[in-house]
Amino acid sequence: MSRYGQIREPRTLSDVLKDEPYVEAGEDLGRATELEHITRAVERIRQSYEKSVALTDRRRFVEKAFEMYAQLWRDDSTYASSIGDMIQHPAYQAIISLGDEAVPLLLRELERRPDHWFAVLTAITHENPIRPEEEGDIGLMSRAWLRWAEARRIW
Amino acid sequence: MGGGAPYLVIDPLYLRFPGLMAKGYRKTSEATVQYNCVAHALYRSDKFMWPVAPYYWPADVPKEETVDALVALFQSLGYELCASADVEDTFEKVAIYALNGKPTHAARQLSTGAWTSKLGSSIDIEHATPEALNGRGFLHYGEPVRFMKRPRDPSRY
Repeated sequence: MSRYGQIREPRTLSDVLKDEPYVEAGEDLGRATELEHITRAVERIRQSYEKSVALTDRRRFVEKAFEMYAQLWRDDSTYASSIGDMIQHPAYQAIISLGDEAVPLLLRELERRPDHWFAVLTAITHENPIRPEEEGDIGLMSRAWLRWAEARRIW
Repeated sequence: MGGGAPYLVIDPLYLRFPGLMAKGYRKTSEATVQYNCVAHALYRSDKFMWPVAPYYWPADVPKEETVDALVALFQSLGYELCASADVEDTFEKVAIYALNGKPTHAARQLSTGAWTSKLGSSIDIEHATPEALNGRGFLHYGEPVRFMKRPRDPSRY
């Protein structure tokens, strides 16, 4: 065993959630109850991530936590239009709580498959590089953030 | 054919929107994040329109995430409030959905009386009634809370 203790492998989202029933598709539990289920799921991911953190390999585990949060958020918000609700999703909030370390991962996501990551980027960086004429065009909005990152040599 | 027990594959859209099961739905586009339900209700596929930054919203309409802001948007484009989703030959209608007082979705009535919706970042569908998309869960649409109409523009059909 290393001086940092045994490194646990990051688990998959389904591994993390399999012991506790998540919101069953087709169930209509009501908003508050469903939000409680989702919050518990996000807490399980956070605990799994924190238990896995090894001082020697933090970046890898942040990346895994990000992937699980992002997958959970994407799965739940596919049919949503309300940006307010999407941002309120506990997994989205958990990504915000990852802070600066999430920024390169978010930029990578925007480059691979543009999605609604603008609010989390603004929450972490306190910046909004999107010009008024680019608002609402997801492709242009994504490119605005990638331009912003290139200018700061963080991408 | 193997000897295993048969299993049923249920369309995930029916699981999310059980109200669609009664009369089905028809997929009318591939999934895309480029536009949303409000844009689709206004025949646009170039913008994601929602009344929060940094999304597109006309400058002369209040930019706040309220049902009134969506009503004001449609009013700015010639719609007026009406009582129901009933088909009126010379008018086209939209439905504005809300859950716990917050706007969640918009759908447009087709000349056939059916409705068309862009489902978030997913696909466009035709559905028989606006109520077919009702749901109370987190990130669900709630129910239609306003109907609006404007004279049909024959050039659109």
